[in-house]
Amino acid sequence: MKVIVPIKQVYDPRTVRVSRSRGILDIREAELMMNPGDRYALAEALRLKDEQGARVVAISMGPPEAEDILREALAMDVDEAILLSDEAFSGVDVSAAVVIVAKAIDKIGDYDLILTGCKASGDGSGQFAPRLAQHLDLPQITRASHLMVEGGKVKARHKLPDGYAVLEASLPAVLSIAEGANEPRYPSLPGSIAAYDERTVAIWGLEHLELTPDEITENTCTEVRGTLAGLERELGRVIKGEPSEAAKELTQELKGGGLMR
Amino acid sequence: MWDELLTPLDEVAEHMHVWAVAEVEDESVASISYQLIGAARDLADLLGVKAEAVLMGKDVEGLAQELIWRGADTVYLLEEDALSQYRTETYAQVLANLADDRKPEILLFGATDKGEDLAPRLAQQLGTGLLPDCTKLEVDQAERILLGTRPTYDGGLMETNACPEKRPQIATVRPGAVEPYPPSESRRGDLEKISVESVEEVTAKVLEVVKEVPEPALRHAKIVVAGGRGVGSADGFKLLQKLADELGAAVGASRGAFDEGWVGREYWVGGAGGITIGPDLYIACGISGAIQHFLGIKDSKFIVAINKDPRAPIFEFADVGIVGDLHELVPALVDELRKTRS
Ligand SMILES: Cc1cc2nc3c(=O)[nH]c(=O)nc-3n(C[C@H](O)[C@H](O)[C@H](O)COP(=O)(O)OP(=O)(O)OC[C@H]3O[C@@H](n4cnc5c(N)ncnc54)[C@H](O)[C@@H]3O)c2cc1C
Repeated sequence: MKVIVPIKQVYDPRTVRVSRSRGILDIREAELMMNPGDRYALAEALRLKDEQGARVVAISMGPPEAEDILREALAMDVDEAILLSDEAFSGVDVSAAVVIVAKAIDKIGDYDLILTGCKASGDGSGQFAPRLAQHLDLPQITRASHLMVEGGKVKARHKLPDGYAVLEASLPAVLSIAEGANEPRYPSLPGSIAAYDERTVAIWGLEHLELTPDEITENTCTEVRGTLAGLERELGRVIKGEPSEAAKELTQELKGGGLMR
Repeated sequence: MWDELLTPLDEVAEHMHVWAVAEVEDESVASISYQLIGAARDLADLLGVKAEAVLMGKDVEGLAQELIWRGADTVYLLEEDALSQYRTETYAQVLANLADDRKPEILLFGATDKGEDLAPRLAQQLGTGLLPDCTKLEVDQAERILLGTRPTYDGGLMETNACPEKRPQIATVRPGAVEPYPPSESRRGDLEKISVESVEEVTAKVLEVVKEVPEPALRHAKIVVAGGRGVGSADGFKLLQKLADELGAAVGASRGAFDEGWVGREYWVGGAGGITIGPDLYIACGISGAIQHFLGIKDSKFIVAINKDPRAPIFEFADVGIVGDLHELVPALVDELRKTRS
């Protein structure tokens, strides 16, 4: 069994600021990290490795720095790591990213499962897994947990707002793993040392993937028209005084505003 | 031959009308659908085209009327055994066929469990872009471009997206972002039955559906009294329950209170994992007002905060705040309410 896990490097949201005056993201002090949701996909793949001998390949599309999260994946015991990196990939939207990653997946070939996170933190939109599944003409199970791979099929729970549905798909299939589906893994110290000293991260660019810049442009659909600082709201009124007085004032205000009977 | 003469601009011009893809849940139309048809109505009026609803399922014809009352000029009705239960690939395929045939200009889905599963797959199939999780929809009338704004970075940054060249333009709309039109029984519209061509064998099958958590009363409550870590204990929530009983309200909690184990998960309010609510009145007791919490309650029409720390962030978005100890203020409020009632 071969499991491919596309992962993404994101800004740690705790280190990102928003410039209120300019209405843009201030990333001067931002730190990069592996998208937290992708850890569940990696952990699920590694469970299949431990229990069923799966071979796990992590891939990431991003700038050269994204090699870090692939090293981290290697340190978690992933078998192979590939970075898709090229000037031409920078700033692409999700529909173009899907085309690039799908090319890499075709090149890796002979896979049974593709596992992803559900939504990238920060500015993710959760489109990647369904789009990738469609592009590869494969079945999808989003927000998945409780995976069972057997007899050329995968069975999993798809999380619903009020419960879950048990779905079964033939392999290969694309699954986005629900947050909290498992205990995410963290690298061991010896694993980390080996990941940096002994293991390699393959780097594939435009040429290696046999893609042209035109193909990327053609598959780009959306653009960001602008950004604004969020969450502006007028300051409310503060009621002061003794509890009984404050309670009286609040009650009157709520009644006056027709907010309670 | 004509195909070859079509320039990209002609292709854009060929697409007309705004569609709302209705969601059916337990044999009725999910409330998001009326919000979507309301949004489609507004956009269609701006663009001078029709607002149309797509209704898919089995034995759902009876649900079409209200979509018209709520703003649809046309309801496309697709009834078929294979559509009786939601399945991603089947629904995407059927919608793609219909969109290829009728060429809508804009397609709206809910940013719901189903919408987020289905809309991206359809967008990929149609080779077009998707404006995700919109809390605001606008349109560039001259260029006929939909502008969809969504919160990113936990609401810190609002981002406006567009899909300028590909058609149709697809957007998912966050529940609660658009006010639906009240049903108007004098509104007229057409019902058009679409025959569904044989649907390809699907590869992801639904084996069973399990309802786990009862639908929390919280989600639809008009008034919510919520407690945070400041409530101090599971017993403290009994105090909030008293206030809730006086007001006919539901009780909710912050993640902080849930983490402490004082309440079950079904009480947890928030934008990241919790329940998103938009009651008429939200009373937050001992909740600091973290961004994730705010995202879950920001659609509340009126927010009251009770917190002993005057610098708590919740005061930044409360309409009325009381600085003080909730263990004194909540009983005082209960007393006051009882007094005014008698
Ligand atoms: C990925 C992620 C997702 C999250 N999702 C959510 C979410 O969906 N919903 C959510 O709520 N949180 C969420 N959180 C957690 C959130 O960041 C906060 O930690 C949480 O909301 C804090 O809960 P709280 O306000 O009850 O507790 P605290 O922040 O500890 O605040 C307690 C408040 O009570 C006040 N207080 C104490 N005693 C009294 C008293 N006697 N009378 C009056 N006031 C008193 C204090 O002044 C303080 O302001 C998430 C966090 C992360 C990292």
